Amino acid sequence: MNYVDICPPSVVYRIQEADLRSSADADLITWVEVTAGRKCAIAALEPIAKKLKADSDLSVVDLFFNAVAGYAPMLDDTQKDFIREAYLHFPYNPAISGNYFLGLRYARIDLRDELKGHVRINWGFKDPDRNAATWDYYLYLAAMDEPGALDAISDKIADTKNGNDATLLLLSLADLHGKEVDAILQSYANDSRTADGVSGPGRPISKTIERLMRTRTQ
Amino acid sequence: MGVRIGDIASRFEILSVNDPSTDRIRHRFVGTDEALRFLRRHLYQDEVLAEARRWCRDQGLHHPTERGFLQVLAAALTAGTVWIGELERPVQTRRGGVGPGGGGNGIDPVPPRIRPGPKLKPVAELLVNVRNILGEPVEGVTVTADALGTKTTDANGVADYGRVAPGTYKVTAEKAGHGLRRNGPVIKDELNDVAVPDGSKKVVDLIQTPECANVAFFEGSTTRSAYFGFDHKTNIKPTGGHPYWDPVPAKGTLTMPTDKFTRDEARWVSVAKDQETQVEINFAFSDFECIPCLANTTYQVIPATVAEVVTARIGAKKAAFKIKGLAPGEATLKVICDGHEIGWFHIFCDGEKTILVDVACLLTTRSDVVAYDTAAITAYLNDVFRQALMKVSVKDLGLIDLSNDADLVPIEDKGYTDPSGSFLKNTSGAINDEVLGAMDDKAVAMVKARTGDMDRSGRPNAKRLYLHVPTPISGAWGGWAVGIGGAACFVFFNNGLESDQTCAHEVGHLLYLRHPSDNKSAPQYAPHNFASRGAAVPDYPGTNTERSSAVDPTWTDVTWANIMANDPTNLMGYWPVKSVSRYLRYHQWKTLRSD
Repeated sequence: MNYVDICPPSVVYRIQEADLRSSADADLITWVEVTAGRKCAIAALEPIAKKLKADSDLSVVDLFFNAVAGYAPMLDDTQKDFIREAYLHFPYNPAISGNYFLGLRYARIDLRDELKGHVRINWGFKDPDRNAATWDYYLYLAAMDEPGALDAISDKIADTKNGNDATLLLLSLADLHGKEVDAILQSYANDSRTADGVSGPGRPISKTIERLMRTRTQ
Repeated sequence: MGVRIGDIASRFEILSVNDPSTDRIRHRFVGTDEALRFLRRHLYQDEVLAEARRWCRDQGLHHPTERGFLQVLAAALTAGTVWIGELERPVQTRRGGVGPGGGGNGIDPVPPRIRPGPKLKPVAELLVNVRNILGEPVEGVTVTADALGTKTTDANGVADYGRVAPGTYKVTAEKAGHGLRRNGPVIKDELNDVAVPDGSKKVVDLIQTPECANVAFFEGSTTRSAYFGFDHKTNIKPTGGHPYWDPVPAKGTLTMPTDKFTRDEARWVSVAKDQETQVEINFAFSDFECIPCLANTTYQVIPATVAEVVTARIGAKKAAFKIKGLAPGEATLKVICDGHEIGWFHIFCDGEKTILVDVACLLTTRSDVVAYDTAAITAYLNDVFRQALMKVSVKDLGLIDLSNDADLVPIEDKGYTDPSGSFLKNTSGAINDEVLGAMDDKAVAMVKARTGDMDRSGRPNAKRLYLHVPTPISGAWGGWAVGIGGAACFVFFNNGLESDQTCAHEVGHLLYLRHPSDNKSAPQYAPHNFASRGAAVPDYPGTNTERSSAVDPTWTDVTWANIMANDPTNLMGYWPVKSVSRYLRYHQWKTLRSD
């Protein structure tokens, strides 16, 4: 259903008037949901996607892809099509790789062919949050069942010596589903290395795996 | 009665037309020029000139200046108002001739006697003006002009030699501590071969300007929205050290160090790519505040690919100064004046990044509903993380009520070593992470299960900030983050500045920031600041960007290592005055943006 029919006039007006070249409107979808509810926010993805241009503020694009990820389970195929088109309007930017690939992954939009050669592969990162575009990309590839992607992820974790970095990578991996992922997680069930707490050692990896497996089976 | 003129051997006097003296030989002049030449030959001595002036004044011959006086007198001679008489008849040597010093037509029939007359001294004047580079007079300058000797300039910067013998002179002006330009050697000014022709008044302009050097240094802008981060702690001077600009060197001979982490108080400034940031440029001078010299100041970013200067010209001792970020990287802005490096600051540039924080009130069987102000939290988080070029998008998820979750009760109980005591008191960090991690899992699941259209949804990739106030006694800590780089943190305060500050501190942990006391935190702090943990904290005055911090009067345990004496109000320390503890430094900017 069209957002004009769902959203209050004031929200419609705000969406129509939004200047997506400005970071001031980066939180637009969040504001729409808080103001008018989820249905309106989901419906608003379409007009916002159509308003996005190459000169849109990077934070606007970043949070748009985050919203796509957040509402992915509720998107129908038509909505996914125009979101796919929105993705194609933007050259891949590693600065927003987290939400970029998260949106693709959660919405299961297949841009693997289009992305080939555009993502610089560098496994030199330590944790999944900083300079980890390769990690984000491979999580996406793995979610799309790309052969070898999960193995590369598994190798990265295996090569990580630091307990905190390993914990964070495992926590990030746990966002994927499937028995293969379970198997990788389980292989650390007896790992005594610890995460870094804010005041001394944090939880052992074994305990983290225990917690993850509990939540994954619920 | 007339007045004698010429030297002591002279026989001439000036007489009034009414003077009946008959024992004088009257000299006649063809014209005023001849009369003037005669007068100049005989009125070169000051005392004689003064006497002649007085006599003429008595005769009603007024003259505004000395030079005018001779001309007036010459005109009077030509007109016959006064006349020149010779006391005795000169010896006639030849027919029609006149004695030396005569210059008139001579008197027939007695020829003039030939004898040596007074030495002829042509008349000119010399005046020397000495000014500084601003055109202002300089008093007390020693001026020389060869054989004319030395004089000292007066308050108007003038050394007046008055009447001098025409000729060519070398004129110099010299004053201790002065030179030809603002920031150069102490040197006298001089002009060789200054021609002072007969009958002229030569004015010579020389320069002696006080030697002044200037330096530039930087403070932050007083307008928070005008800048991102301003760090005056990373390069803090060592005890007994001094900033590169203090004292101002006598000459502008500062040399910018190649090491950006030299402890010379050079500032670090963060700026987002494609955006501007503002600092305050200050100039300090040695001896003499020569503000106009600032027009000669240039600004250079090295390397120029990282940032560019927006403010091209400064004309005041203190002014706003802007740069614009161009590309991620680090650079130094160098201030150059008269070819000298006179100041600098260092630049950290990166693209602006947005982080997501979902905030909620987490209610359990052992806690109360928390009053919190999402707008205030949002503003505080943005103020803090803006220093590292990060924006924070905050979404309020509202109340997450786990008070009916029976499974959580035994987990929560683990957080109490004393069932009636404080939450997380004397518990291990691992236990804290286990308890709070379980509460986070429950909260995430509850938010995920929300189905109502107006229910707030959690955002993927968002950090989770829970406001959670255990009751009846709150947490043993102000807050707790579930791991360095983790996804969730808890704040055990009700609404207020302490709560807001603790929110920023705990979110900092989720973004990989560590306490100074953390044995793995060394890379996140300047080594000397890290080494100052536990040392006695001195008073720090307020700056444009940071409030003052006094010695904490309640602080007795200086061995506690989570406060750095060099940087007590760092966000990640435990400075007891939370309202002033919000600052992040260069190494933390780096940590937040990469590793």
